[in-house]
Order: sequence, then C-alpha cells, then structure tokens
Amino acid sequence: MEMEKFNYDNGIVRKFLIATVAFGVVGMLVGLLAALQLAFAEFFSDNLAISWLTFGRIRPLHTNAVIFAFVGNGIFAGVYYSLQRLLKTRMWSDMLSNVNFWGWQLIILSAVITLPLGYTTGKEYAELEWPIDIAITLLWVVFGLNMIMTIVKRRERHIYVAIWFYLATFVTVAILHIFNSFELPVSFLKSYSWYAGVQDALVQWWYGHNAVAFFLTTPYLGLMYYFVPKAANRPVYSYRLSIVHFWALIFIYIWAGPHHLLYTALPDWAQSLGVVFSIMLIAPSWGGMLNGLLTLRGAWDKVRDSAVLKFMVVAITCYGMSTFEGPMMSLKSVNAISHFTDWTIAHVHIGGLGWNGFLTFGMLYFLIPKMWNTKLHSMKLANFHFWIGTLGIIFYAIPMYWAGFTQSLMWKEFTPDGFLAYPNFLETVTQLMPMYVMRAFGGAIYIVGVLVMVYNLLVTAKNGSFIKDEPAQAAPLAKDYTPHAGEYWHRALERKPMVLMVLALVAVSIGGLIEIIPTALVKSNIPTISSVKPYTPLELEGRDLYIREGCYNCHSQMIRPFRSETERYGEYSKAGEFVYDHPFQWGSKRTGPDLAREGGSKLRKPNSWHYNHMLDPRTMSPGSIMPPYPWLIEDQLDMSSTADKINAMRTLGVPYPQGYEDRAVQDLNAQAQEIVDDLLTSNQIEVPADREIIALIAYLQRLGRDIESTDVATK
Amino acid sequence: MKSLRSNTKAAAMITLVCLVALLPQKASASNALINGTGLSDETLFIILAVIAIFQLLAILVIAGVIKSIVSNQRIWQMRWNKGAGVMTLLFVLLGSQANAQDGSFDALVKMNDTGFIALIILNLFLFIAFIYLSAKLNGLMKMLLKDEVGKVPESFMDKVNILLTDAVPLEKEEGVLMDHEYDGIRELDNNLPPWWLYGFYFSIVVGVLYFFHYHVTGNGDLQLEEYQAELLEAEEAKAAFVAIQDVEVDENNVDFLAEASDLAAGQKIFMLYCLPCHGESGGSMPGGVGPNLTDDYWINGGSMNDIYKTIKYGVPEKGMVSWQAQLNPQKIQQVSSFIKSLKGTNPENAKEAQGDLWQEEETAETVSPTKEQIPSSDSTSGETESATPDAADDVTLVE
Repeated sequence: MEMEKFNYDNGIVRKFLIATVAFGVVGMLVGLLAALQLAFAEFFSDNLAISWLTFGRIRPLHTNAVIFAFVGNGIFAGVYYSLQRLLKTRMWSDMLSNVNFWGWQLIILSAVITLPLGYTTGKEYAELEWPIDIAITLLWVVFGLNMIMTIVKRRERHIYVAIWFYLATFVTVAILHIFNSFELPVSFLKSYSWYAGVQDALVQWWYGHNAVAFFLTTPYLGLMYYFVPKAANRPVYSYRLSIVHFWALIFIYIWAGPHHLLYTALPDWAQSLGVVFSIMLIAPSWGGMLNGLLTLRGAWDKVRDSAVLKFMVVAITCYGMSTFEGPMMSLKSVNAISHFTDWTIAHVHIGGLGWNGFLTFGMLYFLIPKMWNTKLHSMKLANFHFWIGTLGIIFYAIPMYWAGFTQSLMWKEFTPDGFLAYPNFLETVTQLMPMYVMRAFGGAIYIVGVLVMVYNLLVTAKNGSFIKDEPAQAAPLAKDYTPHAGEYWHRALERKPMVLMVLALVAVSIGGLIEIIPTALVKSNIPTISSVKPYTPLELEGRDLYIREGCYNCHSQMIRPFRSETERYGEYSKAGEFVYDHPFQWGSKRTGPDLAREGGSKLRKPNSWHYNHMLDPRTMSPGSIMPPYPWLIEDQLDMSSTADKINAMRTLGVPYPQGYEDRAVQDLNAQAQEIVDDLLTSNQIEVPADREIIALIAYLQRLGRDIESTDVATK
Repeated sequence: MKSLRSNTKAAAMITLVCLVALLPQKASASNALINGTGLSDETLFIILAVIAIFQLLAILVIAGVIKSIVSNQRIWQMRWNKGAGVMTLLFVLLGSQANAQDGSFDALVKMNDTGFIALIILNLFLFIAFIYLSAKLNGLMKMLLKDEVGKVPESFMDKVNILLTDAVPLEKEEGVLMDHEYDGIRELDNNLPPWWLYGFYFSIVVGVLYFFHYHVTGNGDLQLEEYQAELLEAEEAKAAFVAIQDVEVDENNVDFLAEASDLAAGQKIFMLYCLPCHGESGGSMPGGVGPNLTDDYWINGGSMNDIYKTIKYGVPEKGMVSWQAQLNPQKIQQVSSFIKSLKGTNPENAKEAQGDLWQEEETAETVSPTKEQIPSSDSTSGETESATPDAADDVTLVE
C-alpha cells in the first residue's frame, strides 16, 4: 500500500507546553501565598489587608489555577502530542486546535481576574461564574470535536488505551461540568445554583470528586500509557489489565462522590453508596499503577539514568498511595477523624504534587528535548529538581497529616466531667502554626525545583531547533478489514471509537443517575421543617457577601452528629434546614469554626461582636488567623439587584410571595436600621445603614435560628 | 522449591498450633472468659473469623494461579472458570452467612460453643484445601518451569514474584507480545496479577456486605443511632464521674470564692473568654461589646447568684453567650468571683453605666467578704502578682 506523507503539528503542543509551565509556576506561587497567609496571619493582617488578597479569594484562585490551568494545559499538551502519533495523522483542524488553546487561556485569564474580585458561585472547584461556565462548555466541545474528527480520519485501525482514557475524559467532564453548572443568572456576573441544600451538595461533590477522577486522573492515566512505555522503551505490561481496569475505573469512580459528605445531612443510603464504591475503587485504581510500574519490568536500570522515568515512577507511586488513602478516608470511622482537617489537604497534595506534578514534569523532560531535537541541557539540574521536589512533597505532606490528627483529636477531646477539653476553637488552630510554617517551606522548595526545571528546559530549547511540523508517513486505512481469527472481543470496540465512547458515557451515567435522581425526587430524603423560612432580603444580600468573600473556604456550615460537635456548636444539622440554600455552603475544611448555628442560642454573639470581629478579628479573638475585612464597613451594599435576586430565588422554588420583590428593598432597609440602632444604643458604634457589614451581620445572626423556633413551637 | 514448601509447612504448623490451642481453651471454658490468655469470647471469635477469611483469600489466589497456569496463557479465557466461580459463590454464601450471624453475634458468642466449633472446623477444612492446593501449585510450577526453561527458579524473590504477578518471565515475553503496535508502543498479554484480581473480587464482596449490613438487614447503626449511643455513653461516664465528686455548685448555692488562687484562676478564665467583649479591665474597652463589669450598675443582676446564672445560661437576646458547655461549675464560680472582685476598680476608659443600680441586699453575706478579701489577697500578693499582673494591681488599688 502506498504511504501517505503528512506532518504532525508540534506548534500547538509547544504552545500548550509553555502555558503548562507558566501557569504551573503561577498556580503554585498562589498556593504558596495562601500557605503563607495561614502561617503568618498577623503579618498579612497588618500589612496586606486588601480585599482581593484575602485567603477566601486566593485559595479558589490557587485550586482553579493548578487544576484547570496547570493540569488542564498539561492534558492538552499531552493529548495533542500523543493523539496525532497514536492515530498517525495530524490534528483534524489547526484552527480548532488554536481556538482551543487561545480560548482556554482566555478562560484562565478571566478566572485570574474574576476570582480575586469576588465573582464566584461559591461551589468548590466550580467557582467561575456563568458566562465563563458557558465559555468552558464551548471550548470543551471544540476540544472534543477536534479529537473525535482526528480519530475519524485516523490511519491506525485500532485505538490505543490512552485514547480510551481521553474519550472517557471528554464525555464525563462535559456531563459533570454542565450538570453542576446549572445556575440561574441574576446579573452579568452573579448567579444562583439551580439546586438547593442537600441536592446541591450531592451534585457538587459528584462533580468535585469526579473532577479529581476525570480531570486529574483519567487523562493523566492516558498520558502515562503513552509516555511511560515510550520513555522506557518497553511494552505495556498487560493489555487485559488495561481493559479491566479502564472499564472498572470509570464505572465505579462516578459513584464515590458522596464520600465527601459522610456524617452530613445527606441521606444515609447515599452516604453508604459512597463508602461502598470507594472500597471497590482500590483495585481499579491500582490496576493503572500496576500497569505503569510493571511496564518498567526489565527496565529499572534505565530509571536510574533517566530523569523522565524517575519522575514518572514517583508519580505513579504517589498515584497508588493516594488512591489507597482515598478509600481509607472514605471509611466512616476514618472520615470522622480526617474530614474538615488538614489531612484532606495532605491527601490532595500527594495526588497533586506527586501524581499530576511529577507526571507533568516527566512529560516535559521527555518532550522538550525531543521536540527541539536536542539533549536535555543538564542532567544534574534535572536530578536536583527530582530530589528537591520529592523532599518538597514530604515536607508538605507530613506536617499536614500531623496537623490533621492534632486538630481532630483536640476537637474531640473531653474532660472527665464531660466538657470539651478545648472549647475555644482557636486553641486548636494556634496549635497548628508550626505545621503551617513547615508546610509553606515544603511548598516553597517544591517551587524552587520547578523554577530550576524552567531554567533547564529554557536552555535546552535554546540549544535545539524546534520543528514545528514534524514529517511522518503512514499508509491509509484499507476499506475492508477482516479481523484476526480468535482476537479479543475488545478489539472490535477499539475499531469503533464512537461505540466505545458511547459505552463509556453509559458507564459513567449509571452511578450519577442512581444517586442524584432519588435524592431530588423522593421526598422522604429531605424531611421538611416547617419553621425553616426563606432569608430576608438583607440576609440574602449578606449571604451573597459571605459567598463573595469565600468564607466557605475556612468555615463549614454542617454540624455532624458527633457529641464533640453538638457540644461545641449545637444541634446537628438537618437536611430540611438547607432547602433555601442556593448554593449550599457546607464547606469542606474548618480552618475556623463551623457557622451553621452562629446565630443560634448557643453561639449567638452581639451585633457589635461581629462588627468588631470583621473589622479586626483579633480584637474579639486574640490570636485569630482570620483576615480583617475593613472594606465591608467602608463599602455600600449594592441593592440594585435585590429585587432580581428575590425573583430569581422564587423561580428556583423559594416561596417569596408574588410582588415581594417590590417591597424587598424597603424591608431590607428596615432590618438594616434595626441593626444600626442596636449597634448605636448598646455599643455607641456609629455606622451607616447602607454598609455591607450590616447585611453580613444580619446573615450571620440568622444562621441556625429557624430550627430553634420549632423547639418553641413544639413545646 | 524446597524453601517454598518449607514455608508452606511452617505456615501450616503455625496455623495448626493456633487452632489446636484455641480448641481446648474454648471447650474447657465454655461459659467464662479464658483467663489464662486474657482472650475474651469476642476476640476469639474475631481471630477465628479472620483466620478463615485469610485462608479463603489464600485459596482463591492459589486457585487463580493454577487456573491461569493450566489454561493457555495466550488466549484470554472468556468462559468463566468453573472452579473460580464455585469458589466465589462459596465465598459469597459464607459471607452472607457471617452477616446473618452478625445479628445474633452476642447470642453466638455467649450462649454456646457450636459457633466456635463450626468456625474451627471450617478453618481446618479450609486449611486442608489450602495445603492441597499449594502442593498442586508446587508440582505444577516445577513441571512447567523445568520443561520450558530448563531451570527451576531458586531465589525466594523469584517465587514470590511469580505468586504475586503471575507474569510471563521476561525471557519468554515474546510469547505474549501482542501483534499490534502504536507509535512504537507494544503491549504484552500478561495475566491479571492474582492478588489484584481476587482483591478486587474481595472488595466487591465487602462492599455488598457493607450495604446489606446497614440498609437491608438493618443490623448496622446508622449515624443517628451511633450518635444516640455516643450521647448515652457520655452521660453514663459523666454521671459516674460526678458521683464521686463533691456537691456540685449551681446558681442557687454558689458562694463567693475569696481565695487568691481561685481569683487568679478566675482571672485566667476571664482573660481567655471574657476579655474580647468586656475588656481586659472588665470596663469593656476597647471592644466595647459587653457592659462595664466594674461599676454598680447591672443589667441582669449583680449578686453572686445572678452573675453565675448569667454566665452559665447566657442572655441570648442581649448577646451574652452561654458558657455552661465550655466551663464547668467550678470554673464558672471562679470567674464569677473574679468579676465580683472587679467592683469599684474604676478602670480608665470605662464604658458608661448600663442597667439598674445594684445594691447588695444581703450586705453581710456578699459585700463584707469582698472587703475582707482584699487584705487577704494583699497578704498573698507575692503569689498572685506574678500570675495576675493587671487586675491584681487593680484590686489592690481599691484598697
């Protein structure tokens, strides 16, 4: 058969590689900033009390930057490089490739601008507001279309396991993103989640968990399947293992989301499904690790000499560790200790720094010399990067595990006469300061390694000559094909990538549907509480400020049914309490105390306490690491969309009476005046009624109140 | 081969010894705990169950290895291997049986020995199966490896490797190399590592049992039941603790504590919890959130009993937090006494008076101790001053 000549598009890969490195450095530096804010809170409060620099806005920027900018560009770089070669064809459309690249960078840029400015949906890892959500959807379709059309015009009959993973990634991320981003726009950069309370929590963690699965795991497994055998020059260990673990992984992963909501107000059966599927997930996850590590069988001597393989071995090992640790943390008894603590932070950073970071570095050390047609500038520097990076992970993780255990044990400790041993939450935070300093050190040296890599790669590229269009040749596919006799059944699927993609779609849909639909439809899953009423307009505005400032990054609103929590915060949280919460604000980490009942009788504080506390937390809580929020007192509350917000909430099912939007601002002003009067009469604090602080105080004072009026009613 | 066999033998001996040791113990002490070893019935039961599970796992793994050695390694056997199927089924049955036993766990453990004897017999049975299968495996491996490579793997690690991964040796890799190639990447058709495969099956079984345990049989405590149990346990522990304490202080019987050590302790508590709202001096600056505690005006009453009560229950509508969950009665008494001792200290920048003028009704009881207290605090000022720098000064100033 005649060979066809064509070129691989290396130009697009180069663009994505540069973006990967650039945003990797930026995202990690932002992470370091967040770590320093916790470790040296006093310095930041005194010198850098700037709204867009507060932890609540910086932390989402960090997570979004490393996930979607660093890893996201890494995925595209790896996929655009490997896909062309595995299919023996150029990308279908250079134009779409470039749209994908520039569009993605624009989305990142918009995130870099909007997140620090406080435009957020308040849902973790999905903070970007609705116009950006739509842009992401379109961009993802562009990526998918380009990939699918490239597959269609391939010159390779069967598609390789890496591409199965790319396809599963494409369809699943699309579903996750679209369904979790259902939101009702109120204005250009403000929207409310379509779902409320428990349902919002379930959808959010179905998304959040599977963002880890299908953005940080499956595409990277695809990259592993391409780059590890290429770099080691060894055959993949077991084709059968690839098949079994691929299908098992995508089918089971999707179910495990509820393990982020153990001991919450989520119905028990959904929690148990989360636990059960997390346990079943160990083997499918480890299938990938085994296939990666055993591919190196007979090539371990190469690992010693190759920077690429070294990074990849550590990456795969970290993948194995965190995919074992994850299911362990999903066991309810372990989760009771780990949840809301720094243990979770340690866990995700083993995955993030180890698996994603190191695999990306391995890929970079492989690709750049290859694409620039030269040798790596300095093996010594690469080795230095490897060791300092590994040390960085260790210095990061160990203090965080320590901090997690310490804090959890302190929360749970009782004195013999039945009192909390550390009733003041702050004591359990100040205890962690040395660990936070060490963590920042670990993160810093990891970044030093990355910077060394950047230098090494820049010099490498300078020494070489880049080939933008790499010539290749291959025979076109013959029209007719007769399968080998006795071939595996799965081979047939590999010839029909669209069928494979649809089957993957079916596999990932089942778990989500079974968990989400009953929670949304079956009434008994969320027993209603008659005394739970919609927020007043002022409280609603206050809640939006709570979301804007990213309070959920440090404060949970979910009291679990543990004695240590009900003693500290009051009655455990009930599903029916959150029915008007669009979005839910349960949080996932307690750097500060739970706020679900901040306005309830057990924790209620005077308005003036909140006023002083927001102005400077350390006057009310000496030693607090919370940043001050002076702009809440200076800035006027924007009431221009209050009526629209009421309307939007009514559309979402919140029972505001018809026409209430016309009275909303009036009610808002009246309630604000009450708070202002109280501040003045009892504490001589003079503040205009139109300031943001008033709305936030109103919201905080409302938290946890509704359920107490039930008690009164039943009595 | 020898070492593998001797390992199996060693394992066999250990298990046998364990079983034999357990049998008479249980039999001889049917109704009491086994005092000699300190093993309770429950522990014994769990040990036996765990041994049984591990043996089952071992059997499954060996069966899997034998299966794959016997079958042609080049072709993926699509049909279900009957042996493995039966084994899995058996396992599931056993598992559900164990689950059924869960409910009557106490009965089983406490009432009779049948359960134990059944478990021990099961263990023995499994053990015989284990020995038999390992012998078969040994024979097979010997045959295969001798035939095809002409040498027997000698090192222990080689054997472990074979057992763990069931992989085709590197030198024979060509035999399982698949015919396709993608951008130079080839694929081998190695068997699934047996421990991985059976671990996967095992995790599925565990998952199913877990769900049955909590949501079908209803034996497992869901989170609210767990919570109720936790509360009950705490209540009992607290009652037991309180029973051996002196009479508990409450708002009706609370007395002013004049001891310098009590006042120092009270001051410490004050600085930790009250300072943010009531100020370091008790005069409510700089925060200015709470009322002045040093003047004669009180919103909720100024007697020892009133102060104690205000601290204990809080006054939510006025913003005073309840402290009874955080401070035990003695601590509330100490801090109440300290607050009482602040009266008349007239700190700088004190907040203006709020509430009603409070006059001690039982002057003899409350006011006079305050006055008496000051000289006594003076006499021990050497001790107090170091611990309570500011307020102690204030107290002496009053004099």
